[in-house]
Amino acid sequence: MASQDEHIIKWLNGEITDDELKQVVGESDVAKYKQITQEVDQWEPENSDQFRINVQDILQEKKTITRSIDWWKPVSIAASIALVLTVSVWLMFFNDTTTYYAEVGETKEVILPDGKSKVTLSSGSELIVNRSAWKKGGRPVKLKGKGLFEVEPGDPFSVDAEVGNVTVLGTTFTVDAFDTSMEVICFEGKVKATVSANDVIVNGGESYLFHEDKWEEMVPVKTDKPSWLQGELSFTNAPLKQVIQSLEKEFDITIQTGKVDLKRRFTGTFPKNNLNAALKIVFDPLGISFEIKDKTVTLSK
Amino acid sequence: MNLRSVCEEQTFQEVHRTHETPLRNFLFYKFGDLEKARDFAQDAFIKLWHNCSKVTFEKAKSYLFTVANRLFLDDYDHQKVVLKFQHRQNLSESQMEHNPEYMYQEEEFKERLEEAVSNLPEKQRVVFLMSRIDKMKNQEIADALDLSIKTIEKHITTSLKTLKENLDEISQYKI
Repeated sequence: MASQDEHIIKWLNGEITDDELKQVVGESDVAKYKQITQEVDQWEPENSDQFRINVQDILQEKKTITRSIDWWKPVSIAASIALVLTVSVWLMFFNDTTTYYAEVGETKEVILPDGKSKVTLSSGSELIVNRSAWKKGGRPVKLKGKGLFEVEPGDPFSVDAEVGNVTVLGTTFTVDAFDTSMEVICFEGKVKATVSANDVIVNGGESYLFHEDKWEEMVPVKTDKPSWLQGELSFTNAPLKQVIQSLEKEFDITIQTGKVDLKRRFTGTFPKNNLNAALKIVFDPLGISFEIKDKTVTLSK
Repeated sequence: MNLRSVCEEQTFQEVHRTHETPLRNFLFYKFGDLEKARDFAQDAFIKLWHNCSKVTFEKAKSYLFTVANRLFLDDYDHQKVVLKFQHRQNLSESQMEHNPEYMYQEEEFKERLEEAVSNLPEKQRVVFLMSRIDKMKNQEIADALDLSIKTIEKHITTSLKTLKENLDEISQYKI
């Protein structure tokens, strides 16, 4: 058999003729091999011309990175390009726009226009997607509130969360924007978050909070999904404002904070289906009392 | 000796021109998604551009294929592949020789063969298609994939024989 293989390879390489191969493998097999190779020889991948690489894009990318951020070299340059793209893409953001909203007490899954990336919105949060902007080589979305992003590799992906933005190539992360603060938890991959001119790179398993004009590294995450997808809300050393906004969105209530010191932090987990228990878990340990009246909760020391 | 640097735009463009399609197709043969294949190939070119001072002109090809392969291994959840091909547009009728050992309509034969190709083991499939579609020489494939030429030859012959057996089997049941 080995000699048969040798003859086949020689024939494929054009070193022996059809007739010479026929003597080894027979006439019918040679005809079959010919029919197969002649068919495959004229193939190319379907839609071959649509998916090309633009060399100019690559040559230009280098200039972008050497000018701006050297320490960030290991991360793909495309993310920094995304910043440029997002800016230009915003200009065209006012047509072909869809707004998704997660009803109170519910989460909502949104499949994005690339057909594979997914956003899960937390209760009371909103996502705005502009389809025509996606057709122009970026994947921008706007977020009000909190969402889990599962981004498949592809064009640069960016989240504008009003407070700041997060750019990425393909990964899983959450963004929670509240007040003038923003929390970014990255479950997989690597993202870059920017508030004003402050950048931070968040690696998989890391969590960062922008609060009071600076980024602070939070306790690493050990799960692969945020707690709010599992029927509870979990916080570690979170600003009270963030916790209060989550409570408001989750239970559709307004919380009057009065003279309570909002600079305090909260660590703990509370259920999403029981307002009274949730309030007790958050405020009791902080020595804050609360009163529920209709849809308003009033806090006092 | 004239050492060419990949950092020069002209040289880089030449590397891009030579390897763009083979590199993208190589990834396509692995998992059948051309858009994703393009993206990985593009990432490999970006990496090469970053590291242009460390990679010589001669090593650029095997660098690109190695990086692309690693991107594929890191990122792709390996599913059953379904490869879809089209006939090259620039081919004239006369170049298509008819050789009806397998008695199929032209389009049906293509579909059968497409399916048989998709079912080949990954390594064999990739090497076979690089050889036939991208017309790479066995030595060139060996260099790109860092394999011996013997291995390449083995993959090609095994592929061809498997394809024939597969088609033989199907045509037996044909009414």
